[in-house]
Amino acid sequence: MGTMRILDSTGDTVVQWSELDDRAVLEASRAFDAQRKLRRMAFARLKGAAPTESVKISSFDPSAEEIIFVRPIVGG
Amino acid sequence: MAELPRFKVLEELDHGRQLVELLEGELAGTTVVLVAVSTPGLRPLEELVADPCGLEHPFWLDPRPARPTSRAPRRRGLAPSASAERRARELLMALLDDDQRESFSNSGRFTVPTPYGTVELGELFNLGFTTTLGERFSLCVVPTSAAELPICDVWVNLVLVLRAEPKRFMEVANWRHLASGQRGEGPVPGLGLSPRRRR
Repeated sequence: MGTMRILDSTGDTVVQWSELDDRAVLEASRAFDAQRKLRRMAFARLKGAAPTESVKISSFDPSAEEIIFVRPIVGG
Repeated sequence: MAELPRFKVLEELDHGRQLVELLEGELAGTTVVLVAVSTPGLRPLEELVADPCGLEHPFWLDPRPARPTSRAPRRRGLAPSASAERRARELLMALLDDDQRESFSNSGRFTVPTPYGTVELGELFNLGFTTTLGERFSLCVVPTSAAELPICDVWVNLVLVLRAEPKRFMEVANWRHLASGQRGEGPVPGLGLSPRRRR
């Protein structure tokens, strides 16, 4: 089961999918694309990776264990 | 120029913040989360809210009415709830290594190593940075619309970017060199980074 966390005012909003469920994968992929259109950045933790090991991704990876969407950063 | 309006402290919050009610000006009756309190500001309130990182004494605006009516619409930028703060803290703790987790639990701060040096997260708008050569800076980097996020989500945001894209972090950071007092916009000097092209 993969989990996507989108940081927001509630802490985060979760989208989950199973690689075996085509519909869930499609919905998660759509959610991913919607966040990308908002210029959010996605960091994925691949299966077996430590929580401290995440990589930036630009397209949905259904094999990822966890994807976290964060906001673009700015200076003042 | 307008000064920061007089305010009344409603509640002491964590991380040194205060929930206050503005008592005068166009925003009278609005509650605001003060991140730091000092002498009255010298810039219009609206300008300060739009540009918190440019401030010596920044604050966040929480546009929740101090006396909400039953028909008041829900607005963006509402202060995160206690459950949101807890949820964000759980996510942050899950992403930290053992040393970082212990440090954050004990002091509310933790450090993130990068190829450029070590960044300390824990004080919003004032991130400690010690380069590999020992130069010390205060950095200001925030996620866009940071006021919408629980504070621990801000640290999640920054730690993920620092781990994966430290160059980008240093390129956008506003900085103050602690020894000389010199300050400027990104990139942080002395790291061999070129100024980013403005869009």
